Amino acid sequence: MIRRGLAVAAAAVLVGNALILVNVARNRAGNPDAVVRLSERELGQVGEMPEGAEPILNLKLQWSTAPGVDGSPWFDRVVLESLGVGRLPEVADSAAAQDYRRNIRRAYAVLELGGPAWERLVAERQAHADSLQAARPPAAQEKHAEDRPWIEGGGRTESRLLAIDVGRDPMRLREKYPERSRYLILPAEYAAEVVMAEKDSLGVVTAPARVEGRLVQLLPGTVHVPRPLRDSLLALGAAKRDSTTHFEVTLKVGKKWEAWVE
Amino acid sequence: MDGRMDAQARVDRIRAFQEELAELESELGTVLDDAGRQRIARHHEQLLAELARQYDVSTTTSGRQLALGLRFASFLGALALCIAVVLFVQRFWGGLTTVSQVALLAAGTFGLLALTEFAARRERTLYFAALAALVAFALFVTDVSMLGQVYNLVPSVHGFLLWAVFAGALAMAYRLRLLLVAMLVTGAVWVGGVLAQLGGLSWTESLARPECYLLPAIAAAAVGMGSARARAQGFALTYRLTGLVLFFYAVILLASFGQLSVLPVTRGGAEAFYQLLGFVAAGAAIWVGIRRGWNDVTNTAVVAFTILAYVKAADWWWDWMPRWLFFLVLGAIAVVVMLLLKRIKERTGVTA
Repeated sequence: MIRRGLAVAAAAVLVGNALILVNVARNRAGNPDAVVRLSERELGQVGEMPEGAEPILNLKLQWSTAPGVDGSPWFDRVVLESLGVGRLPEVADSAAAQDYRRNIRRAYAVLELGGPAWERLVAERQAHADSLQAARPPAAQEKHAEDRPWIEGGGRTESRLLAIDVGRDPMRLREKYPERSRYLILPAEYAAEVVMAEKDSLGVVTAPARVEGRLVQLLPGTVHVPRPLRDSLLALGAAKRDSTTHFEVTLKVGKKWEAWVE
Repeated sequence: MDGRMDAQARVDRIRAFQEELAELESELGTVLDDAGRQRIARHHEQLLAELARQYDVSTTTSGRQLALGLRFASFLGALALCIAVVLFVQRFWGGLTTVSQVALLAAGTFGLLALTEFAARRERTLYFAALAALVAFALFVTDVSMLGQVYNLVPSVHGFLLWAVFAGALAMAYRLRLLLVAMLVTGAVWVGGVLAQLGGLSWTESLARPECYLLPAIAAAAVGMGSARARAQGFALTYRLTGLVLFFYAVILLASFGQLSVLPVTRGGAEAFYQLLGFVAAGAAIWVGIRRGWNDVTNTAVVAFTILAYVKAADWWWDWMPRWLFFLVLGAIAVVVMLLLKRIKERTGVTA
């Protein structure tokens, strides 16, 4: 006779595997929530290829937080409060601000691929490069006069995937950002943080102390590349990532907001 | 008789009685008449045979040492096999299709479960069954984790519930204490994660918030102290010890790093609260341990009490006291704890 404990353990294996596979099937059934084409700029290899072993390719989504429309951060106190984060400290109360404990919470992040946020970022980086050029002595300015614009230099390899919004309800976010080939909605972790005042070299406050939100990571933030796509991407240099690496893959996000590549 | 541990304790007492009787007779001459001696010897012989048959306990000193060696070898074997599983997966994983990957992990876990049952039927001591069960647990953890990675799933705390159920079921079925510890630890992570989610946090945040583990720790210790069923299964000590270690670990962390607390008080306030709680809980546990004759509880609480005293000493004196004086004070604290315990021992006649 089979022991009851053994039957329970076997049932746990069955149930566990079945739940995972059903979840995957439901996520991938029907029309995906989003379908985007990403390149080596947005996907970088994670982990080392163990020597002598069959290669495994996991790609990490490379993204950054977009600048706000008016230059100030978009993930501010108002957004945090709309997410239901309570007990945010008043920055004027330095003791409360210093004692504030950073808690990580879950929500859904909206990532825009090569849209208006990317254009804002390009303009911001170019303005920064221009201000650096203006601050140089005249001789150095002449030397750098022929420098390419940022977008053709460092910006050429920068990821165009930018976090532009966050919310608790992914359906509502999809209504707000309906373009499915440009906007990805993915689970993410975020935290509220107290940012101390920034001062210039003369001690003048250039940015006041404030409470800001910060997207900590996407969940899971990596995509496993199955065979045979893995072999094609490896042949295109996905594992070495240098100037010769060029590839594009289709990333899909399903009904349960989980991504996969094809 | 309550479980294998109690049976082994009875065997040890019989052996100690026989040795002490021989010692007494060498000092005082004959102390028992022949009829009484034979009656006791016959009873002990029958009892030892019965305990060996029913609980497979070691009835000789060499047998006990051998059993310890076997347990150790079984643990090391399980560890080595778990590493082999992980390295095997690393070596060949990339060469398999997704379907093969899923099938291999699930089939491997089922295969090891069957092997556990097969070994348990062939061998009452369960050394090989324990080894197979531990590797099955490791493979099931790998199974769920790898499926999560292959299908890019959002990490969920409920994986820990599955692992806890699996480990607990095998622990109960084969009376395996190491798997019971695995159940308690994975179960505590699940409870902690769910509590964090109920509080509006990400479940991973519970890993950095020791308060999330206080409830499961207290529950485990309470089961170990009060449950007749846990005693009958020979698991009472494992429940008690795991619960207390988890509880004091969380309290000591919170007493030292108040910023880890979720209490709506300042960092200093949280530290003060947990220092007080730690001292009171350690004192209560020492008292309970002495009253009930649980050396494991007394010893764990004494260690926790001493660590808390050292933490407090570091808080108060480390910054301004010369180092030699600081360590002299620590030594003095240790001496005070020893004197206190010695006094309790003398009063109660308990070996602490």
